Amino acid sequence: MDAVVGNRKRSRPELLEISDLIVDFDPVTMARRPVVQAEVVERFRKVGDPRAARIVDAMPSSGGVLDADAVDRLLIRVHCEMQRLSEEFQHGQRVSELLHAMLAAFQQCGIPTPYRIVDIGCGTGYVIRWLAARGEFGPDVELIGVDYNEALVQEALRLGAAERLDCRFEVVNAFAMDQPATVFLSTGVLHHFQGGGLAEFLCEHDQVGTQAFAHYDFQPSPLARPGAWAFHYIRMREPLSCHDGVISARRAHDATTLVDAARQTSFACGMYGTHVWKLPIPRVFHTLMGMRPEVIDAFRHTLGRRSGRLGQLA
Amino acid sequence: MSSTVIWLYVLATLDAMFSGVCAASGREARIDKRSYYLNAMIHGIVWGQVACVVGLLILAAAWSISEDPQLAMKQMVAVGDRMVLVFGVYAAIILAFFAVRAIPSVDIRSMTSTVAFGPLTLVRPAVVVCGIGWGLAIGPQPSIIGAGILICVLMAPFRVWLNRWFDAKRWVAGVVSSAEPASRIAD
Repeated sequence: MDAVVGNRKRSRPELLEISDLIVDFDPVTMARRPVVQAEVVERFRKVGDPRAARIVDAMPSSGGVLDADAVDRLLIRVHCEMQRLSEEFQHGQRVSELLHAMLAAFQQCGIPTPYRIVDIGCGTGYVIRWLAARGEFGPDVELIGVDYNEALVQEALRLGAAERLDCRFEVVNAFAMDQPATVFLSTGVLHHFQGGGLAEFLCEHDQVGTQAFAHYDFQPSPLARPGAWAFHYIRMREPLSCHDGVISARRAHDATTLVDAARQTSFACGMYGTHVWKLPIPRVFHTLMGMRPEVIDAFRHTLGRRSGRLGQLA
Repeated sequence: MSSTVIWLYVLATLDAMFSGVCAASGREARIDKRSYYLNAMIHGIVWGQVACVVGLLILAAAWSISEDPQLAMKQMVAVGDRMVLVFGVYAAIILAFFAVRAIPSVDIRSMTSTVAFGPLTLVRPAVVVCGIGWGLAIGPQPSIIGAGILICVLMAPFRVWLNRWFDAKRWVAGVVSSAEPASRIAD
């Protein structure tokens, strides 16, 4: 994308996250592929991000290939720091409130149980573990976290077992599971899909049995970039966390882009929770929602006083 | 004099307790962290007591090398009174936001983090410097100015040191993440 500034035509730099480039998986076998450190460093230099290049350059490597174990440990630390932000934003409670309204609507519409909640790109599984620990869902609700990164999934499993939580985590493609999800969730995932990839990702939700999706991601606003910088600077310890947190906020899609992409599916789509109460204050995260049209009326009813947060679903 | 000392001690201990929580945050991924944060508070308070003892030793040294110990004591109390004012306001603001956080609303609670606790964490070192600077602005003896500067050097980066200690200790109430954390900034 280009932006014209005065008489100069300036190219907008490509925004890359370190965590996207320091791991690589075979999409079919899910096997880990080696990552050449110099190539990643060079890529960041090319897009004019010397700070990211320095961060990657300082990572342990062997024979020019990034040390996969060190990268995994780093990513677990980063997810632990990210969980802190989720906790401060009360993210578990937010998701729980939305899900309870959704599941109540499904019951009203006679959609049979069990309801399978699948968190895509769950990382160390904070949302799913929170829902298992505090969400007060019944035995007819399955909580499943999926991610491509085996190290993160192993950590999620360890943490879930440590607190004896009734949930599970798998290294699997969320859209190729034996049983389809009733509800797909994600947090901070959508901005990783740029261009046509976003619509492709959303179209994969169109599965028999899938009733809804709710994807939380950063909401672009004039405050998003300085806010993300300040908050990550204050709260994060790992340089990678600070870097990727700010880039995530900058890469985030606006509501129009999200809804346009989502409306290529057969779900009725719209945004949820874009502003704080009815004030012109944008929330840090907004939610792209999709729902089977026949469930919408019941959902508005079960949302209760929160129904004002739900935009038009079409 | 005793009330000044008591107030400074209480404020320093509160600061150390919250510093423990901040330094422990983002290191433990379990959902139920009550015992974890309780442990973090205790660690913070213990290190706060160490800082208080070091501060007292610095003040005692300043008093002992003063040419007029009686005047030095009076000036120390005057400086301390002014410090209590600055730190007391900072502490009152933080405690007021904790009271707001008690309201069971996800929006209000998350806003206290973004609008209050985040920025207040960021300005903490500046508050320490301003509080001590405001106290020293009465123009006490050089030995007291020196002591004030040393205490500032001790307390302003207190959270950084606590972070380093937590890194080194890899403590954490029985459960340690498979990836040991590393600290970066004052937190």
